[in-house]
Amino acid sequence: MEAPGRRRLAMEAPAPPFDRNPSSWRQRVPIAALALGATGISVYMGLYQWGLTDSVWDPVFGSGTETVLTSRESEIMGGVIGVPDAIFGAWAYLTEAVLSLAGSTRRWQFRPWLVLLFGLDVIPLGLVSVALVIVQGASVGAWCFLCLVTALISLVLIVFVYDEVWASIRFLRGVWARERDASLLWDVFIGRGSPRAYAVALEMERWPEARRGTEREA
Amino acid sequence: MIGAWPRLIELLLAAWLLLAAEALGHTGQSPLVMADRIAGLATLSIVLLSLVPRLRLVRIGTLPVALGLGVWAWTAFPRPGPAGAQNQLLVALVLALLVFVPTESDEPPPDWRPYVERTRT
Repeated sequence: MEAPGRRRLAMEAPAPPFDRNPSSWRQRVPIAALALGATGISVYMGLYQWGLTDSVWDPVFGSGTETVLTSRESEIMGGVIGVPDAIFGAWAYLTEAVLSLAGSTRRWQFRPWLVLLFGLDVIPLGLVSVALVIVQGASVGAWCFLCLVTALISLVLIVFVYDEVWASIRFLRGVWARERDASLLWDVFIGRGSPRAYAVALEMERWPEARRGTEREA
Repeated sequence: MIGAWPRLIELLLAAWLLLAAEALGHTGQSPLVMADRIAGLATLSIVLLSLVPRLRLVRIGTLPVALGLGVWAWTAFPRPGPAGAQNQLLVALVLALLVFVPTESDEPPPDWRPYVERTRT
């Protein structure tokens, strides 16, 4: 099957309203690296909670990290989840790493569901995890340096991720504004391309922000 | 084939489930071993089937397997459960995550491909 028009969509095209491509590997690989770093830190803390290591490194609060990791609050959370809370945190960061690596360099348009799932994982859940770290520290009365590092990583990830999520939302809004067809919107959301979705994609490439980005790259 | 990395990890997880009883030393606990083996074999079969291009969506079948394994491990023991149950919970969580990663995920979805400028050969 051939595209109806002459023009094809470039995989590295900018995503309006931005003049850059937020799904590029240049943006997503650092996200994955940061998330994997946070995964490693969480696993390290989880090993202590499992009793597989004798101590935890904390250059700022001394035994603060160990106090937090063995606190009653932490035990309650581990009891509810079924695994130590740090290990569950490691899984949460792993989801961010995996979802950041999934999809093509135009996934903001070709797989909006994936980008929105990724955004949901990083933005609201990231904020919740930061809040949990702070509440836990305040409630236990001790601070955990490595927990704060992972919370900081969560905040940095939010900054990195928002533009891709916004580009996907803008694309979906563009499809709706042009066609007013819920079934087409659903098809586009789940990654089903069609001549009408292609027409919206082409139209978006003519937006001034997209043109600026293309000219700059050229 | 690089795009099939999620399926490769799922195969490794299935193999790990099949070996977990020996590796974690709970061979005497038959319900745990049974759950490991059933989930491992089911995952292995589903992922191998999904590698056939026409059957690629069969991979979604690992989601009920992951949910079943996770719920069983979460409810069968007082939490936090023994190492075998915690292992099952973690494997279930990772399997549930990988369901969301399509095979060939670095490529555009099939329906979009006719509209894409191919820069790779």
